[in-house]
Amino acid sequence: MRRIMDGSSPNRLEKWFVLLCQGCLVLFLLIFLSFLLLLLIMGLPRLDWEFIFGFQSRFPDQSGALSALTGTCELVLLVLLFACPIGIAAAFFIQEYGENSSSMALRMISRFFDLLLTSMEGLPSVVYGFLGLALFVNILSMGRSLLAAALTLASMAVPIIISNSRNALRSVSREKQETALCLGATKWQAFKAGVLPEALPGLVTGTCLAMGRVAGEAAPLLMVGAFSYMTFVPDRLLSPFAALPVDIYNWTVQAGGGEHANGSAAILLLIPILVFFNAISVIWRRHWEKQTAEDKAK
Amino acid sequence: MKEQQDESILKTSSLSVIFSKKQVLSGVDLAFAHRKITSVIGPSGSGKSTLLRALNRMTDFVPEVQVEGDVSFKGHSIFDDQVDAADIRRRIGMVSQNSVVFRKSIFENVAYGLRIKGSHDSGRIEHQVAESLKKVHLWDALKDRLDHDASDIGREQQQRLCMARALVLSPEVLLIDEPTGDLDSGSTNRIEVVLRELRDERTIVIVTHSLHQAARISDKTAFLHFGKLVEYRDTRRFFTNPVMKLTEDYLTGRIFGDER
Repeated sequence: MRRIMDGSSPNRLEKWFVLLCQGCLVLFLLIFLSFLLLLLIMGLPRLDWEFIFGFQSRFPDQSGALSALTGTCELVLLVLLFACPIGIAAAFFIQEYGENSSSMALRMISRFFDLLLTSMEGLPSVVYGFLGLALFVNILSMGRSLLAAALTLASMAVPIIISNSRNALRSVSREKQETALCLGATKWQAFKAGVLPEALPGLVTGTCLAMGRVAGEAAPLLMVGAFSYMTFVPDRLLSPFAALPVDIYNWTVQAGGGEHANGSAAILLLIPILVFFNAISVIWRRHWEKQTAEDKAK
Repeated sequence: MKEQQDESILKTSSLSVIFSKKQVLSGVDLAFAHRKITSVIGPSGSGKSTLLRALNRMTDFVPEVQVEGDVSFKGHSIFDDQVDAADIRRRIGMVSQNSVVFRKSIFENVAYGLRIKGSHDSGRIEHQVAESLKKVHLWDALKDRLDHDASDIGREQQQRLCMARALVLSPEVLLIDEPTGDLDSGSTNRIEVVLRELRDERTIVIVTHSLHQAARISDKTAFLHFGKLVEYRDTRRFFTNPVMKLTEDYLTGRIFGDER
């Protein structure tokens, strides 16, 4: 005890360790800031209203990202529409009826799903692109459409949403659900009264994080055939589509400096969209934690 | 016939409960007397709460549970296929250990059981909520702030609110797990006064850790030890003249539970 107090070797070791951790943090910040700086230097001059509200052109300095920007927004909304109800309902079923069921068969099925979902969550996005191309584009003949792309991204989002939602459901105390059951509630009524209000912030943040992830994906969209040269806004489910990550990729792989500037500007457009979803989840969670703490203090 | 109903509105016969291969209750035979308070006492882990949960089929929701033997309510098995378990839970109400209020107003907390049952007549719901709150002596204290959040009131009032919430369904039996848990003596006293009044209309079964409480308010006392019923008789005789050696050891503080 005294050795530590009087500044001999263990204490010095700790100092070095703290210093090392701080060094790593500074290094990370430096890398991140230089990325940001590079992006700003290259992209900012290009990021004007003309770029945001313009269509593609064969002259890079006249090109705009409107089709890609609207494409990405439409994709996110569609994925939310498809994946959110399916993901949350599946999580609800597995967690409430499967895992805690008194029937052995249901528990086995839920364990099998567990394994399946964990593997699906780990699948690289390019695999989803391949599956989307085969199933939605070809077999279901949706073609290279907004719908096919949204369904592909939704299949990628569903396992993430299920796993995040299950964590949210699992972390809720079950006392209120039990109380409702004691008052003659059905399982669903008890869930609605006792679990849903508590799990809601977790469900929202889980979904937002999944959205943030799929919104930035390029690989699956390239495979289901995103268009890199579009001069209109995708306005129907079966219309061709463009998306920001795909445009970023296409501009960046081209040789010219003008294209690179466009790529950087498009990244500067994409980042706020991704940050938006993450920010919602963080703000929601903070707000809810504060409220719960206040409730407990009463 | 009347005699039989008076004696046992609720009865267990060779009731055993097994949680994932662990025997929590074994062969319990208990007949709960009509319009009486029965205390179930015993060390931690003796199966008291499990017994309570088996009495209104709350064990249905526990995974990997096995219930053997029977519980009969007014002469009919509650485990019968034709029995609606939700209806059983309305008629055999239960108040759990920690006063758990919903994230709703005081009024909506009490009205919850009626709403999920499908009652829409708001006049009747208001009347029933008021009656329930009067039964637990909360009406005067809360009538002007029924729309306040239920978590705004104190712990002891929350506990009585939970009792009112169960009472709104007019249960014939009320099961209460640790009615006064960690409350101070004044609060405990208020709750016990309510319990004594409620007994006039219904059968009450309480699980309690406090031997004093069992002695104070119950008409009959049952002692469980490691899932087995050791002794069950009138409270006065139970405490003054226990038959079993084990009971006497417990009452004099010579045995402890499986402290988990």
